[in-house]
Amino acid sequence: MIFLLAVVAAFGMISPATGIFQTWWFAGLGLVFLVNLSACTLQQAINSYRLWSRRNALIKIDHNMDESILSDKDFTDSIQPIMSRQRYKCIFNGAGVTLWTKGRFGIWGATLFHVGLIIITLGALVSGTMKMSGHIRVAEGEIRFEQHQEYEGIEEGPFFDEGEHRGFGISLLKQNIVLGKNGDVDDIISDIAILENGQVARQASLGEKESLIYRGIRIFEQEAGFAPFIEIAGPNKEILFRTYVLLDSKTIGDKTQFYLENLPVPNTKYRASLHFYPDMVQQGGKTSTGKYTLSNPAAVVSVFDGDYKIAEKIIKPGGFLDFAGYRFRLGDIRHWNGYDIVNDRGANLVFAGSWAAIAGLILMYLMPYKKIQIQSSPQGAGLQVLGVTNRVRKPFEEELAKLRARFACHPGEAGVWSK
Amino acid sequence: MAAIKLQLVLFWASVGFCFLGTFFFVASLSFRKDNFVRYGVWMSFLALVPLTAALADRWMQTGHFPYWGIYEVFTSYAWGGLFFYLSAQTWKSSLKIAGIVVLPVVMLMVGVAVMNSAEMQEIPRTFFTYWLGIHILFAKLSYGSVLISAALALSYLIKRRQEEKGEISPLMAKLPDLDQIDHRSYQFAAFGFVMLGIMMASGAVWAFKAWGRYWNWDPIETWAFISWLVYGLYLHLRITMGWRGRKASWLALLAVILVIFAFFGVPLVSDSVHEHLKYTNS
Repeated sequence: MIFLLAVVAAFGMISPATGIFQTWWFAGLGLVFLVNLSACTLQQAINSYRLWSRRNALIKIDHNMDESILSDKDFTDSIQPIMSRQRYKCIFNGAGVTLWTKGRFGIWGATLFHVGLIIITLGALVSGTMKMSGHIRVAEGEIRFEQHQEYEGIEEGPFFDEGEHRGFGISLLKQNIVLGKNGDVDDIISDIAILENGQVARQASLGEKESLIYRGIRIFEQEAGFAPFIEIAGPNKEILFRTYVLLDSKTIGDKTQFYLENLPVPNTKYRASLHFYPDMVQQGGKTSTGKYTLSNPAAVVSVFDGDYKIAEKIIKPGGFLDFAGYRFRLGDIRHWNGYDIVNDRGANLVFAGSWAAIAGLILMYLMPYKKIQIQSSPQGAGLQVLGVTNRVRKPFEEELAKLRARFACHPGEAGVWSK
Repeated sequence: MAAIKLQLVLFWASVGFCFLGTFFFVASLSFRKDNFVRYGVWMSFLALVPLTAALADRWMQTGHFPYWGIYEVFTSYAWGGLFFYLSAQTWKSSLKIAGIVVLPVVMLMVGVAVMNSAEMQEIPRTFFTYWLGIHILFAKLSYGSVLISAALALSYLIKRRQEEKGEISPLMAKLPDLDQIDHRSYQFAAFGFVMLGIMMASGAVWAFKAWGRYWNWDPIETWAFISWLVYGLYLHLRITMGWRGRKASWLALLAVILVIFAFFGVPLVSDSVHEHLKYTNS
């Protein structure tokens, strides 16, 4: 399964056009991996429990064994200091057997690590099938609601329930521009209010790397721009169009342009376009923006009849452009912010799984498990020292060999267990 | 400009020592002069000094840890790899031979770095987070670890071949027995696996805090994930199916190629959210 996942992921990278990671069968593969991993982890957990269990000896305890050696008080008293010095703890003593362990929690390290991976995979599947992420633009003073139809772009997993939309309002109170040392924009902070039933439920200031978590939904500030007020009046001064328009932006080189293309003039064949400059600078016949701040706001407004430009003018807020009996007026300028809104229940599972996996690794690597069984051989033929570990076998075997040698060579006690 | 000139001089000095070190390591194998390994290690220490000084100077110049742009990323990874190697060989002298892989890689990385633009760039605010520091730290630890694992795997293959031919060079004869080399390679691969895992987890936390998505199938993160899977495969094959020796060594070599590709090759062929790894010509 691991090999298959690696190959499929590599194929998805080599051939990105196939969009493998978004297909149903890739999600299916994740599900099969989850089942496989769960089955293996269950087996591992059973094995870990067998090691953990106090009464679970390394080899079955033979109750017909000669118990007299290990039940001899002198004998156990002689083992105790040797094992304790090496930080072993006695977990069983009887029936001719003593069991000693060290780092018992370490047994669960690998199991916990794999349980962590299961939780991560589950979280990823929950995210893949139930996540919602969308984008909303809000102008200063405007209120938008966390509802499907309010999003300008939205992605919902196949099992996302529309009832999961919270319906609260988001209002941009004010946009603050933080300038760096050289006058460039360092950050754009938006003061937002969350509204529930028309009442302010929460207020927050969001910068570029900050998020607001409200009722389990994360709100990230992603973009910013300008929203000039535009009014178009007809020949009889009737208002045909009147609203704040959220301008698009594009960056060419190190300059950002703010624009609106192909705005239809209602009930006419004309179309208007607007290029906005928050800090208009005119040099050598070229118009550009000096800064992002509204130091010298102005717009180049053009009106087209088909492909032909019939009027063009630079206008400032409050200014207007007359064309074919109509009037295009530029009002005050507001800011807008774009927010990514994410409802991802799988994310917390993924992070919980990550912590579990890391805890498992810590147990696995920092608490090596060792279990030693010292028992009299059947019919009192001598002593057996057996051991098991989840760490490197060779040094442990050396440790067991030393113990065997030590018990056998212990001069004053030899008679105790050789009987 | 003066600061960059000084850094370039120091980086080139480091490249020079790495070149000499590589020469000694290769010569120790080719001419069977085992004492050349000692000179190789000396050269490694000498290479670390100007490399450290140049990175410290860069840190002071930019005001942040050198991780932005190929110039900083490659030199800091090279430093991580070299430092990890020198620490490891101080801990276990049998790891000295790993320099035969580590030194040329470090030399190449510093060389590529100085060919790139050393211009200071503005860093997006999303990159000012301690999660990024954790992410980068574990990336460097994983890189150093898997390099040594691969170097030991290569040593295993060379020594085994020589043993089969019955012509063991004095250098190879001085190395621990094959089982031990194999085991050390496994230990470093396991360590690298853990470090790669933590690197991915911390990167996911950072991405979630910055953009609301912990995983985006970004080319670099996906190739890092593939590398992690291959190390996972290596560990499972070893533990459950008893893969040892030659097969395990070849797999360790394949895995390190994947890691190098994920970290440094992918930005050449794909756009990524890992903006700090973008190549720019000087």
